[in-house]
Amino acid sequence: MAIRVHLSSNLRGPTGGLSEVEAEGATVGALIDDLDRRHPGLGDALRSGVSVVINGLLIAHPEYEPLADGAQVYFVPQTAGG
Amino acid sequence: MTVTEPKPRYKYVGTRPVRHDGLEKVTGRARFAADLNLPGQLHGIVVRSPHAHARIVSIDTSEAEAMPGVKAVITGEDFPAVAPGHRQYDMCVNVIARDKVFYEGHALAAVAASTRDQAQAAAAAVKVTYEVLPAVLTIDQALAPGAPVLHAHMMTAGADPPAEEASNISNITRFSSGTDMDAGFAEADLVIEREFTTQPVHQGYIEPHACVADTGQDGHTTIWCSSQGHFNVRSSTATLLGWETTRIRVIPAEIGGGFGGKTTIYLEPLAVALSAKAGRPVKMVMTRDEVFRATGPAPGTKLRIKLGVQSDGNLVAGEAYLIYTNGAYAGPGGLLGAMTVFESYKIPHFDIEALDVVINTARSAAYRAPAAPLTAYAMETLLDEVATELGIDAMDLRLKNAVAEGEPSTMGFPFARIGFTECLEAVRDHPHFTAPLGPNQGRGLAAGYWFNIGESSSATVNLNEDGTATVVTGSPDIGGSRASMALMAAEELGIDPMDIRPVVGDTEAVGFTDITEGSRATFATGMAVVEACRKMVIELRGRAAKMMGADVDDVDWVDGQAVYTGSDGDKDPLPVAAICAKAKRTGGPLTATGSLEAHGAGPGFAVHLCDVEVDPETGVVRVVRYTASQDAGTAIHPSYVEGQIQGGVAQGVGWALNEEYIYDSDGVMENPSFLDYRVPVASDLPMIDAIIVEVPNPAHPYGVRGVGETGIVPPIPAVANAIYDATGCRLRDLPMSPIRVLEAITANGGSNGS
Repeated sequence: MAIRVHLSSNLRGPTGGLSEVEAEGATVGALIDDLDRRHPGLGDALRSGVSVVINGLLIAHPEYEPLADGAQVYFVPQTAGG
Repeated sequence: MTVTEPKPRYKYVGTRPVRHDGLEKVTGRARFAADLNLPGQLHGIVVRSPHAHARIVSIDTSEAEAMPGVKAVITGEDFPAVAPGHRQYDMCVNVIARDKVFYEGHALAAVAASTRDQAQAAAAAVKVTYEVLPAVLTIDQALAPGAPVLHAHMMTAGADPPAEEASNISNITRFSSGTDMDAGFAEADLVIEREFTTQPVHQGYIEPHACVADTGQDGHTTIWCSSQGHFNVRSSTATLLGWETTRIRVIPAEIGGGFGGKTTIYLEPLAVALSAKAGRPVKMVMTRDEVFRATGPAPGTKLRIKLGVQSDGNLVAGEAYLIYTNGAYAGPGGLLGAMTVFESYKIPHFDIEALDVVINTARSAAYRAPAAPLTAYAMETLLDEVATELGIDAMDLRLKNAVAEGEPSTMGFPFARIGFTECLEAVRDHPHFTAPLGPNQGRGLAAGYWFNIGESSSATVNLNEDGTATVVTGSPDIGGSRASMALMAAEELGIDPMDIRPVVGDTEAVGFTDITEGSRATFATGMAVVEACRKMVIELRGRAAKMMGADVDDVDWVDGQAVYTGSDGDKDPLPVAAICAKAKRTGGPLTATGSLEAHGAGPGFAVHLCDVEVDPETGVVRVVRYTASQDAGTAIHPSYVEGQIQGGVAQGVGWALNEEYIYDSDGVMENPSFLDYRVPVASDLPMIDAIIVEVPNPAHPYGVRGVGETGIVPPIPAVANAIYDATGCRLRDLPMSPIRVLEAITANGGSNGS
């Protein structure tokens, strides 16, 4: 299941600066595991303090969020508020 | 109100009933935490550091413990040890210092006595020996070579290469387009770079922090307190005390303002520990002086922004270097500043670097759209300067560059449906936009953006025997959310909103609910209410089907009653009251819950237009007209949306013109009262004309976007741009106080010029 992953620029260190990479996973958690295999260190960066945007929907705690084949997943820093 | 697209015809959503808690609030009967008194209650007072930075050598409580009426004295040693790396280390050592104090006012001990006077006398008798350390009070001092390092464990997160030595920089954030910035600026016909400074400001809530804790011999405690999230009070207090969560019940009192400042805790663990030690209830109420010295200001900043623009107004490149002080501990100011500074505009080449810096002042707390008003101040005044330089109308410049649906955010993801352009157009089309100005008057335009967030919420809906309803949620009502919950429940159930009692339940009465922050209550807790109501409607249809002798699939719910749609002849509709009256015979009490982690918070945009009149002899700036548009998605209760917009404007105007923390050279705050720290009062402001724009958020059942924070983002630059229009002077340092304005006018030769 190929997923197109987009990384905000502060998360691109482990990908050598690539903003878009491809990985596989039926859930966001599995996707992060695969990303960590392909780009060591990326998993740690994505497992805390990071949200995702999938199909325009901001999801703050996405670990078990299911992914469809061809999904576009954007990893972004988690926000706060007052 | 500006409605941008057709929406369903709602019966209750969008109406303006009197809020359910209104009468109690306006008659003074509402009970705030400081109003509560329990039998045998003691009074707690905090011992605070007089030094901005010092090592605690020793604390001698013996004299205080022997004083009349004193029942308990505690210090950091009465709490479990915490070490750097602990998940909530900063919160723990901020509530009560252990080995060091990091700002004037830092709590380091507390006393409980029979009277407040006795407690104050005993607190003064606690003998603390300090080794005073050099204080770091400004960004420049914190970043200077050889600066004293506040925290020996603070290794800069996000540093590239990784930090090898501790410093006062807690975090570095970098965002970029990944493009060639030099090439980007080479495309520009105009390049402008400016620097800005701002000072810490307080949220200025009228009600000081207050709580009562009653700890029983069974080791369980009940806390009544003012907060934006009582579940957070419970978990943070449990963490600090090392207790299981189930030992703590938190009952939310009414809240007299929070604005982000009550998303963290200060007093509650101290009150619980004192109560446990004394065996009596303990009440603690901060003075205004304590609120200023020891609770969350918003960060101060140094900001530098460079923009490259083509002669037709196209933004092509932007660089930002942002430094935020978060007080004595790590904070998210720089990160959030970096995420907001260019977010409203299409800029193909951008490079943002943000530093979070610690200094010896009180730990910063959230304040409405944290960090965003300051980046907006810099960005929106710079845009105004660009418009002036290029001879382009300031509105047209923004319309030309505004982000829209499908365009990428700074973070890379494409925006979903947003209403920025609609907010700009709403102000452009308002009579204010073309109204004539008087002598010494000027007009300023500015825009603002805020993410909004979702988080977890729970709700329970109980139908009563007579068909009325109770809606219990876990969100403290800090801006009229009881009314919005009732209106959404009314719409779903078909019950008049005045027949619904919206209740804020305590930590043992409703499911876990995150803090009321991030403009999330009506959005996320509203979703939980809708979910509970929809389950209830399914249940009601089932009960009605039993009463009708029909199949449930042949029963619809229409406007508060069950309607038979099958083919087995006519059956009378059953109103909700009739179904409730027979609940015992059809299956028992009618109750339903909703609980969820809300996804899809819709970003909020706002556009403000401000007229000021500047006294050229005194530098006093008076706001004479103000119009503010904001995308609310769908306004559930328009009056409280307008109230949020107006409140944001009022606070933003204060931030722009008057408010600042002033410290002496030792880091002692010099203006910790509302006499010397000037917030706007009603007579300082004109009527604020709020325009609600409705571009529904597709992720919410009613299209709601959060509205509580965005309104504070544009006022500072709107005021600054208006002052420029009136005087020809660009003010790039906050606050734009009379002395600063007068100095600028004088330096400018007395009147218009740049």
